[in-house]
Amino acid sequence: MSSSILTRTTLAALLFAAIPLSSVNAVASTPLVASPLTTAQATHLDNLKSHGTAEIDRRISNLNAALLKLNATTKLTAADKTALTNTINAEISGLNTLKAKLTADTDLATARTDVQSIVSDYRVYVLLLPKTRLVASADRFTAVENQLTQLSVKLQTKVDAAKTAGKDVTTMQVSLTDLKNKLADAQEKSTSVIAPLLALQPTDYNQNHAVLVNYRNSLMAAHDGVMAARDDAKSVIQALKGTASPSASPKS
Amino acid sequence: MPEDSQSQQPATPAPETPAPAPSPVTPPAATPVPPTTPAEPEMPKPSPTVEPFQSAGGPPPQASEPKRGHKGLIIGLGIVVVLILAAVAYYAVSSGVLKLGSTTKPSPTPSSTPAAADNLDSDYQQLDSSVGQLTNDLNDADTALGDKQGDLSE
Repeated sequence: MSSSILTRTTLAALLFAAIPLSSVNAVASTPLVASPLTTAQATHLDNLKSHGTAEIDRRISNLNAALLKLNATTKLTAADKTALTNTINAEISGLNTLKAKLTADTDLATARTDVQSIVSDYRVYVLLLPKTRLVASADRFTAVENQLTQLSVKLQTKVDAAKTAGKDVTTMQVSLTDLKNKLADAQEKSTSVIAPLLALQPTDYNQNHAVLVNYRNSLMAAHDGVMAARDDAKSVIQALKGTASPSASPKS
Repeated sequence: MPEDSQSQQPATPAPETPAPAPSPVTPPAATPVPPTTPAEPEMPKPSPTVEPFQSAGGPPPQASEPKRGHKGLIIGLGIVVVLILAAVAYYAVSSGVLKLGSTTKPSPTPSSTPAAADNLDSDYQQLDSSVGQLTNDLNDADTALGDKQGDLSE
């Protein structure tokens, strides 16, 4: 009987003692959330804003420079130029919106998220600008490959004429056939990268940081093919000069 | 002027025959060689002197002998003028001052092969230049790939 009374008294005392502790915690937690930023936090927020604004401005400046180059270039196809221009303009617009939002941010967490999105949501330097250059290079490939095609047609005509005239054109024809094969391979490699490059988004880079490498490697391989085809064309031209009769080719 | 002289010839039967000979020569020689035109007015002068001999039954060949010499001189002058003109024309054409047309250009067949070679050379040089620009573009793209340019690491 006495032990039960002792137990009840102890529990009651513990509960009574716990009441002030819980009330103090409840009172103390509310002012922590609603309290204004400390001086250090405010300074940190200002630094984030100024740093983020500078990064946004630098990106917009580089994107505008890229737009100027795009408008001036004559090597890009109209469709590719339009697609790249639209992409860049969309990034500039998005960055301006983000800049306004960052300027209006009042807490550190939101400002941090906005500053991080300058990089992760736009990928100006690691994706958009390299992508633009790669597409421009791929379009220049098209122009060079058209030149090679026209030259190969002329060379084939000359080789056929030399063959009709009784000249030995075996070596020339081998080089010319190699030229055509190299050209076809380069065309396949260079044209196949344009559409996937244009479709790349920052999220693609976020998932795979090496997303541009394969396209770059394809263009480098196409470049090697174009160089080899050019060398083939040179050898055929020199061989054609060698087959010309002395009276017919006074030019040194 | 020559046409007028020919129309006057039927009036005097005897000197008519020498008169037509110089007429075809005079047109080309009219501008460069003036002496041929003053020779024509002299032609009617002997005719009045010949008429008395004919009427007298005298020897007409003697009267015509100086005319034959004059005629030969005119013909000779005409030939010389024609030769000079031909020589000048030949020199002008051969030196390229005067172009008569594309069909007269010499040796079209031998020149076709060097021209074609030049064309191929030009095409190749343009191609080589384009390949060089392409290489530069790829290098720029490579640079852009490796250039993060960000204080914030992308």
